[in-house]
Amino acid sequence: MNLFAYTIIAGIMYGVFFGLVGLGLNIIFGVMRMINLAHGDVIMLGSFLAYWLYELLGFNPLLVVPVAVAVFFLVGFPLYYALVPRLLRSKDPEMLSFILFFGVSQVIEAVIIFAFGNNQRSIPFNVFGSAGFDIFGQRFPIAWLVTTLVALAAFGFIYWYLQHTRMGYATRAVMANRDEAMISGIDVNRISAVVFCMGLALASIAGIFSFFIIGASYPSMGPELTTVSFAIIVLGSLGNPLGTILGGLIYGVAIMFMQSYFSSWANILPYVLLIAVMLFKPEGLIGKAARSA
Amino acid sequence: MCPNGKHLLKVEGLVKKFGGFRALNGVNIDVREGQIVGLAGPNGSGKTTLINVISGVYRPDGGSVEFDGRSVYKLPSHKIVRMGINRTFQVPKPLAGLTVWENVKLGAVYGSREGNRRETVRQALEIVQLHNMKDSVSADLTFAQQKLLGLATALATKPKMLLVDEIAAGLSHQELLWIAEMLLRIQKTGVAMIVVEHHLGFIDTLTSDVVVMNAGANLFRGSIQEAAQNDEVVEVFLGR
Repeated sequence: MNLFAYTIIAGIMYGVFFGLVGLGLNIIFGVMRMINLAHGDVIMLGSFLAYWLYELLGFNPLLVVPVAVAVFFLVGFPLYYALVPRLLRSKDPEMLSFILFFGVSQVIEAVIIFAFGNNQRSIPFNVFGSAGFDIFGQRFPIAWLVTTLVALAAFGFIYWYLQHTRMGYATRAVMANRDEAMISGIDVNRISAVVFCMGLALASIAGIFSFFIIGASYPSMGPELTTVSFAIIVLGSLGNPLGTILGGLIYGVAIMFMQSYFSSWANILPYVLLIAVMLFKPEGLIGKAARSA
Repeated sequence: MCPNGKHLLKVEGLVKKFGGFRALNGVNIDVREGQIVGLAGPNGSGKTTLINVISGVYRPDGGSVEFDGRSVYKLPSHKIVRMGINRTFQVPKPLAGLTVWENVKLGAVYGSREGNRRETVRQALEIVQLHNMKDSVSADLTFAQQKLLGLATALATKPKMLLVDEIAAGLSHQELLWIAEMLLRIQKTGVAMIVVEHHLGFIDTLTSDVVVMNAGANLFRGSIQEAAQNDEVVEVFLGR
């Protein structure tokens, strides 16, 4: 019974984190209808930023969050305007985006391996204090609580942005229909650029806290994280950012069960979930009605 | 019709290529203030492509587009909308998760810089007679109502010129008559229009000035009656 309760509670915390892992990918897909295959590499870059700021300057990971947001907005805008408008004017932007972002992913991985080597790196669990915390008699590391709260704050921010800001209103319109949004007078390119940067920033925040859930960071972790993210957003609903939290929770609880009871099979879980959803509910668990909102 | 008004839209030698295919091959069209011009032609003649290029959905590859004395050539859609050109889509594209009111409000918020937005939305919905459905989710509307919603969203941007793309397709005779009356009422407020339509009878109820296109180029300009006497027009429509 103890293991079961532990598995459920830990699975929920994992799930909230994995929701954050998929959130950036889904928000970019929602607005641009493109899958950013370099998403996992951005998560890796976020983790490296956190690692080096911790190692060199003693930065607490929480302090790295505003730094990462600033860095990825600064990098994201020129990257967006250099790549995406040209891509959108092409005959088959979705297919070309796969190839282009796959290339970006390979370049990021190669550059980081070249610069730092392919070693694993980590930030100690006790960076937020060595005390644990109890839920229903189960003890968990404080780093998990901090990670969960940061992920929930990110979801809260996205909800606030989409539902309560003027730019969020325009973003929902672009997500629902790019052409109609365009002729309503919305600058869809500007909205897409902002959301692209937001997606990168969210991925980097997931990277900062990945040490406490995944364990370590290494340059070649990107493609695996992209696959996991893709499984999560397909599970929730492609293009519906807030559906990602559902996908993350299902993935988190499922992976925790696998690790607790069938640990040697845990790594195939994202692929099994992807195939199952594609076969039986390709529109995602939340469905089509929510996807367009 | 206002044949003596000044030129509002002037398109000259417009070219749009898709790979090696020239969908528009030097199209010319001009529209005066408050005028309705019908745009007809067989499938694939380039009518919708012309609307897409003028409205900034597609980028042109040559020629010029002037609106109200200023070039709108290669401008992005949102700037063209704010200058006073808007359009409807052949297949309506409402923002499915939003209500009728929210859809139209989007046009008032982003497409128009003047006036009371609430009043603008109310008036646009009243013109298309969807005001009693303002709280309905747009995905629940019928096909015809979704077309009207697209028109209301365009009207909420307070356009000087509307590009109406096959609004009559798939509608009943009664609905056609009602829509024709509504477009004429909109014209009376000073809005010029290009009305793309296969249904020549529908165009005839709106205007006596029709441009016929074929293979991405101008073929004819005149009244429907004159078009019916023109051998080239008859040939492209009937294949004789």
